[in-house]
Amino acid sequence: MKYKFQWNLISRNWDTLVEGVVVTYQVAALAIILASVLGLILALMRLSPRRWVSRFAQVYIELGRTLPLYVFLLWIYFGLSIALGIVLQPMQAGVIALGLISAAYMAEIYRAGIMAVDRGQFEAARALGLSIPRIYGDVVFPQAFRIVLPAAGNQFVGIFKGAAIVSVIGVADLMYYARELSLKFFKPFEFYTAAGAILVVSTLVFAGLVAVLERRLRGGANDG
Amino acid sequence: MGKGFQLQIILDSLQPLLQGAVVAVGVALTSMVVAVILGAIVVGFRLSRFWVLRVPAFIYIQFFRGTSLFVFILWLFFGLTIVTGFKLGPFIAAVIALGMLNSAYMAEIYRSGLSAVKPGQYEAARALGLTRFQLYWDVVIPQAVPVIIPAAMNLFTDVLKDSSLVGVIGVVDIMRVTQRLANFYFRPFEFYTAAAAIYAIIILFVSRVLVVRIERYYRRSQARSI
Repeated sequence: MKYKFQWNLISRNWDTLVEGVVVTYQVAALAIILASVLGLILALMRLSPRRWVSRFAQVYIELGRTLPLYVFLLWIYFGLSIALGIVLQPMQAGVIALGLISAAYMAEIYRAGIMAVDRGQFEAARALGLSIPRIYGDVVFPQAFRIVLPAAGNQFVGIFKGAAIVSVIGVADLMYYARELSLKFFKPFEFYTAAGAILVVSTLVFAGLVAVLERRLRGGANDG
Repeated sequence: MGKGFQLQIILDSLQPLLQGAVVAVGVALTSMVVAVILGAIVVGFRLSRFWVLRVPAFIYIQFFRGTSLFVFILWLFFGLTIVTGFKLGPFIAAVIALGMLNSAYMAEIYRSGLSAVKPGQYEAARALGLTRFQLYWDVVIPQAVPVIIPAAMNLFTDVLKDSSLVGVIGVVDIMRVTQRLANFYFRPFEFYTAAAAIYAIIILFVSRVLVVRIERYYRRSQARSI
């Protein structure tokens, strides 16, 4: 039996696919924001002189880097929500799962950046009588920022790739519509190829944007 | 329905859960073997003098590094099989998808291992009149392996993590078993927690015990050789 390709189905359903990919972008963007903020908090906790604060962050980071995203996603959406008796929308669960897991990786990236700042900088800042927020805000972070950039950029691309998975809990993203349309027209090859192509191109474009941004920020940052 | 965490229900279902875990580890191990072999071929092309081999290998690596497993596995299993009319079992499809994707990462690991060998080593070997085979077998590979093995082990932990989603194409792995049991007993929290715990144990064993040991072994053997 010879297979008859129907690529015109893609152009006829283009709007639906675009609607889906916008949702994928949203999930990725929200997860990146969540991971960036939570990761920083975790990194600071990890570096805290208080033993139990540091310990808690360490356990979180270890677990987050160990658990597969898919397992964690199903656990949050099907398991935890029932145990806690809360109703999570698929989109919320997707962002939370992706954000919480990625925060563990981001924390390690931030920590490496902060620790790479010369010890003398801390000591000099303290000798000058700066407060803790100012030591971090004015001295450590501006220097750590440039060290962190490339690794953070890679992580963002990783989060973007991870966002493709959230349709397994019913988020109406690109892969969700690809599946729906495949079943409707019984043309899985065309729709999955289109979805795959859209995502690969998006990933490559996003990675390119991150690289450009990285270069610009690095160039603009002041060495002091 | 009982309140609180029902540990007993997990203990009663431990056998199917562990069978599922064995399937998951089996998928990961088989895929890793594919990635190790295929990656060696790809890096051979990537480092070739001829651009007809080099350029496709470069595109192959970039493509798979930009592709998520979830998309590729669905495309392969539901899409490609219909076009080619070639029936693939879920296990085989999972191994092909995971193996191909990670062969791109393996190729980059090989490349970094080979580039860790200093150019002077090649020159010295040539000056001593070694054949091409001797050059690679006796000089380059023994120095590249200590770089390659630990990185490959780290990749293996990623393969283990990625292998959790092969249930989406119907492989009866631990997540698939978990879904079925969770729906049957309507105790999703217990079962998903158990699955996550089993995964955590397997992956922590590999990353904290195996990887650390192998790294230590190679550091020691390197110290001996100096």
